[in-house]
Amino acid sequence: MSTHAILTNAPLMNASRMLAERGFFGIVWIDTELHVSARYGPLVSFVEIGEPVTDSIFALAGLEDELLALRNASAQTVIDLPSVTIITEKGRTPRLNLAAIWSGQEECLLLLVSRAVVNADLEVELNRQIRARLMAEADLKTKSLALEQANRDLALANTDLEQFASIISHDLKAPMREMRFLTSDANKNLTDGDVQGAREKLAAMEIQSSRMAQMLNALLDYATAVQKSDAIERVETATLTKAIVQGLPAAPGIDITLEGEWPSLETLAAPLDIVLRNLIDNAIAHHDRSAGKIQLRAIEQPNAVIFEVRDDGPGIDPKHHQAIFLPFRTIANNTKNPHHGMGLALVARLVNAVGGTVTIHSEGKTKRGTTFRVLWPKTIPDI
Amino acid sequence: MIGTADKVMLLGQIGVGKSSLAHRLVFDRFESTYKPTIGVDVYRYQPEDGASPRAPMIVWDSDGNLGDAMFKHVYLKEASAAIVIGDITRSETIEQMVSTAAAFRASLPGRVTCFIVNKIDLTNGADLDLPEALTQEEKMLFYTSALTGENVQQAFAATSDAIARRTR
Repeated sequence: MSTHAILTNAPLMNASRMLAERGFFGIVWIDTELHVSARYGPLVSFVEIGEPVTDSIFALAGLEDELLALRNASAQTVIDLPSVTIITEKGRTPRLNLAAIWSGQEECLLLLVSRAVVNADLEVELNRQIRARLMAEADLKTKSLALEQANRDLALANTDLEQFASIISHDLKAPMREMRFLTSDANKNLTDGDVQGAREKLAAMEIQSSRMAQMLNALLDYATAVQKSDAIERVETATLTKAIVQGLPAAPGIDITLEGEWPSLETLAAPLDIVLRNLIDNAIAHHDRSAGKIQLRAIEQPNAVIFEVRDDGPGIDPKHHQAIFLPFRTIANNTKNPHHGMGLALVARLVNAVGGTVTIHSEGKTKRGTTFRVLWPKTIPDI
Repeated sequence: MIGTADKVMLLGQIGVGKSSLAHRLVFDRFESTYKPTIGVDVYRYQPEDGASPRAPMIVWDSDGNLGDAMFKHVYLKEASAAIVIGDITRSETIEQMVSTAAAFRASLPGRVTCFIVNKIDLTNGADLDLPEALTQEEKMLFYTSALTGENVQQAFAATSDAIARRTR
């Protein structure tokens, strides 16, 4: 007779109890309704007696059918769920191995819960190091992006500086020179006793001085066109555009229509207003006939909206297509509607600042009509 | 099945923010100290009701190290959905999302798949070119930040609704 045959269950039960009390494992009894009927050991103290087992041990949720099927399975069939941590507001359990078996003798499921401790420390340390490296890489990438952005801003600022230097030295020099000549002429008039002539020169100087003031104001508007303080707001683009058209001086004989689908956008409202206003104003002001048509069209794309301003005016010669976007450049000699030539420069500056593009399509002398097309991104970069 | 909870797997490479998303979702806070998940962490989450009541979710936050072994694992059993997560600052984790989703669907055909591009707080508004397969194929694509909580609840609510449409 082998020694096994004379053993009773009692010593095994005592040994199990001792191990459970010391937290080596825990046992949960589960009835056929999958409610907890009893538990044993501190490892399973979080399991609520009388409640569905899945309320305490979420990891078993979804496995209800499998658990019940154990009843009809062979005695050796076990459901194993290794390395599970249950996390609640109260905290996290240790890493647990869960094993469910059917106890035919007691007509219940037994859930054996034990600690999972295989190479845990090594794994944690390894993963911590991997994570630290990944975080450092992510940080580096973020800093690189910031550096790229700073470089772009710097390049833009340099271009601005060059442009301003050019404007100051070239465009503002003309009225200054004119004033110098006028001063000299006025002096000569006074020397000759020609008071009337001197008065005329002084009046002309006043006009030049006023022109310079207007140019400086326009330049200031241009320099401060996009401010960090500009707010992102919801803009109904159709409503905005209709308001712009209504607010501009009436142009008899010019028919302005809105076409396409005008979306609602979360965007920089003031710059968009200035861009559309200047383009529409430009189309009206430079139209050379008593009757004409201006078509305003919006086309929504996944990441941007295209705004088009199309007129049937005289057109713009392709050789001027780049120059018209520079400050103080105007190709029209419109004495009735004098412009400083800052409108399209302002449009280009604002559109560039929001990460968009503005393009002109016109054949000039060979075919009438001009279309300005603005690609306005839906996501505005940090300015 | 007796229970009414939806089992949802969080899948993705190590460090993409699976645990942070689960923490943000369930406890509405961000854990700044990183603890890698070994095995799985299991959370219970009750989404707020939408147009119709939403079932509780059992969120299985898996070990990123498991890799493809996950798809042969008992963990996946009876999962109703997978939320496949990538890190916007690491393009390789984004590229991996497509194949992870494909492997999940091969293991459990017809289940819901949701895509999350996480850590958008780190991008400073820069655009990211997602793989075409991700943007073309999937409508359930969310850009989230576990740090700020942006879009996290929305992604899980949409997953819950998609499961409801499929199963009930």
